[in-house]
Amino acid sequence: MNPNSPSHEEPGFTIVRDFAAPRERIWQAWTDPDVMARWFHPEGLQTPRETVSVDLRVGGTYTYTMRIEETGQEFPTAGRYLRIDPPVRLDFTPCASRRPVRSFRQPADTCESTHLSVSTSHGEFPARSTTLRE
Amino acid sequence: MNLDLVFGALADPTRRAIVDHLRHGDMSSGELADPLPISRSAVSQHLKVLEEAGLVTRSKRAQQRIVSLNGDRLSAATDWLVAAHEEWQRRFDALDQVLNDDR
Repeated sequence: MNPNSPSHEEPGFTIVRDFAAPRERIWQAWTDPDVMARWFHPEGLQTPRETVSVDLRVGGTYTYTMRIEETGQEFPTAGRYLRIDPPVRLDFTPCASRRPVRSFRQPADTCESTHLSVSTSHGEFPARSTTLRE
Repeated sequence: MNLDLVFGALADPTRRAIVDHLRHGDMSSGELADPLPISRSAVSQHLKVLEEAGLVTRSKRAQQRIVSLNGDRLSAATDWLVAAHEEWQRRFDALDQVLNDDR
């Protein structure tokens, strides 16, 4: 699936994983341009740090450009923040259109791990959604 | 194809049982209904949902209503599920790597 051309036929779905890190560090990985540049791209692409900009407020936008090093092909990506409750919840659009909406949630953490769920919905939240588990 | 309709149709255990029966080949609506502990009209309602999702086709053969599974539609839905799952596993693997590197 190309992250730049989300299919309007995609159903809503939720994916979950436990990470061995406190919530604050996972939140930072999703919102701090320095950290985003290191992983916001599929394998084989890079996100140059200078292409990442984040205006972390409700209604603010984020942009970044993924690049295939070998060919120089670029994939500019942008979205808008809809709800910001650090470090618990971040709702945003994963592309320039109003839908879908993606919701990042980590309601609690323990000393060992944080349970992160990321949901994508084309309608109202919470979506009636398909949960993908490892 | 509307995958919401497909997954919505498959979200019901009776409809999944119907799909399972049809994997072995076409059946009449009577044959489908007999082993199910619900009325024929309830079965008919379930078939309608499956038909609207494109998962089954109903046709008339002699005096019987024949129900067929559309395997392509089912495969397209599972293909999507596998692709979405793999993509997000890769993304989460990359996040996990970053979190580990910074430890």
